[in-house]
Amino acid sequence: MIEARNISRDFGGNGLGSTDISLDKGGFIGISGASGCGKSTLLNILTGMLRPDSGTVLIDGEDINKLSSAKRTALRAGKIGYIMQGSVLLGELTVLENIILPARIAGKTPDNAKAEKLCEKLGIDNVMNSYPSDISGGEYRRTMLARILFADTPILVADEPTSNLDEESAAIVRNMIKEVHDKGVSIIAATHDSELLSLADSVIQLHPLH
Amino acid sequence: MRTIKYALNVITYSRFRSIIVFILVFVTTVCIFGTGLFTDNIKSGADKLNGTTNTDLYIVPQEYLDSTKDMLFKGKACTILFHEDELNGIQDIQGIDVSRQLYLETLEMSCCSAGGLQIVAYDPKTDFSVRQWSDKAPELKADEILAGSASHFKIGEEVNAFGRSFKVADILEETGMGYDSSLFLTYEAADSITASLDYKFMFGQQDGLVSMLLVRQNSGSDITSLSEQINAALSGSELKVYAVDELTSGLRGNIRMLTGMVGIMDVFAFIIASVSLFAMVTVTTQQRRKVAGSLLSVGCGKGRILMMFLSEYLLLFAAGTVLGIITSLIFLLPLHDVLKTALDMPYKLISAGQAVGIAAKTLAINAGMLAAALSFTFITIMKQEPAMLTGENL
Repeated sequence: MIEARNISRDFGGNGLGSTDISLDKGGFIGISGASGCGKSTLLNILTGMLRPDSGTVLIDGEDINKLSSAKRTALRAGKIGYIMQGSVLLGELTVLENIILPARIAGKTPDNAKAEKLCEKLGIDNVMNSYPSDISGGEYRRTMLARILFADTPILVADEPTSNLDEESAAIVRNMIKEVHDKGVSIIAATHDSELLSLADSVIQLHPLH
Repeated sequence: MRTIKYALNVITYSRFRSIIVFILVFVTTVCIFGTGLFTDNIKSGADKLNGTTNTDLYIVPQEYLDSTKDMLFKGKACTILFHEDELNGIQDIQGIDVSRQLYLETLEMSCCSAGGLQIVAYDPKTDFSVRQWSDKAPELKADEILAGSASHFKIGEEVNAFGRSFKVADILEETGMGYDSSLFLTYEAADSITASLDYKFMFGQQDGLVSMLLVRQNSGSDITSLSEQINAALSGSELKVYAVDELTSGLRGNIRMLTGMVGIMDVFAFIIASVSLFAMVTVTTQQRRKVAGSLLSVGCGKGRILMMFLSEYLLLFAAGTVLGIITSLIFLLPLHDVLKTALDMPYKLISAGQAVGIAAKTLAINAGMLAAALSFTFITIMKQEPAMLTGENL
């Protein structure tokens, strides 16, 4: 599904050193490493959110760095659900509206019942009609996970999905990731969470660039 | 519809920002449209000065020149009198049409419901001026009256002036001059007033009184030489001939000064409002870099993101522009006559088509400003890689 060779990106001493990664269909790769070793850079390159200084990224055999910005965006819409660390919900929309937003963007009629069920599973059904500014940090992260899962993409890329969460929220997120993995979704997750890493088929350890 | 709904959500959610953007659009609209309409109305009045009366030369008593100007262009009522015998000298001049007018200021007496108004008497047979503003002018009867557009009389209404009752036969088109607040009656009626015993104390019980003689040359001769010819014929008299430019030169200077000052203030306010608006749109769009990055991460195209941002501003710009135009009209239209009086200079409402033109110009400037601000910011943002927009710790 994803095949990356010798990808690197240098941000003036920080960033990602030359890295290879290969994710098969239904696979689960964990990425670990100290802060600043390039975990987020790697995920952003794999999802086409960032161009590498070198190397190639193939998704289903297609070199995403040769695609236009619009095509990379379309590729994410169809194939990759990406939970970024710095990602935000739209403050003007309710939790439920944020979850169904990607479907709306894709021009589909969103299945509200499916979104509500997802909220129930992630324990955010009580805040479905609240605005992001009125919910807790844990609920915020779970809403972002729900937004990605709702899109039903075959690949899930998650950057520190359980960081800054209380144990209960973290467990809910881990269980949800395991559940979608069991359903055949391919997953790459960068995390310090050893319990989450234990769910992965393989773990790549990254090291600081210098 | 979803985009509009989202835009309404954003506007409601970010009330403060929305109110500021709305106010800035409103101010720029009032600056462009309101002052544009106001100055064009003044210019429209000024443009009419030369052509309105269809007259090339005016013959008036020299000492009443200022009163004549005030009456003609500012609507200040006055009574100017000289006898028609004084005009005998010009009877032999060929190639001109002449038409006399008599200005009588109505007395604020119990007999006069039309107190404070200017009465203008004209001769329907020789008139070439009043007939431009009313089809009824050439056939006005002695017991009828024509009312100026701003005199607030209605057709068919009975008006009492100088102890006589007149029926309003027609309302004149707007002239942009003092005529708009005047009443027009026939010389026959005026003679009966000035010759009556009741007003002997005012008019000396005589007819054939004149205030101004309007001269129109019809031979294609040079106005300057015609003017010299008339002045020569009137030598020894208190009467003097004036070309329309001589009557309006001072007024035109005042108009230029006023429209210039309004224009400078307008430009100043417009620059402040538009720079603030540009800054506001730029800053608020920059603040949404994270939103743009997040939307890109979930596969939302740039065009769609632009539409989401644009729709919010479009609604605010549309609302601000429409309300600015309506407010300007609400202020300028009902207060038209008040402004006309207060301005002390010609003021004529421009046509609906011209007003629509100014509204279209306003809309185009506002739309251009929005497009410039948003495209500048949007292009700056979208040049960056999506991951950079979200502030990822890379």
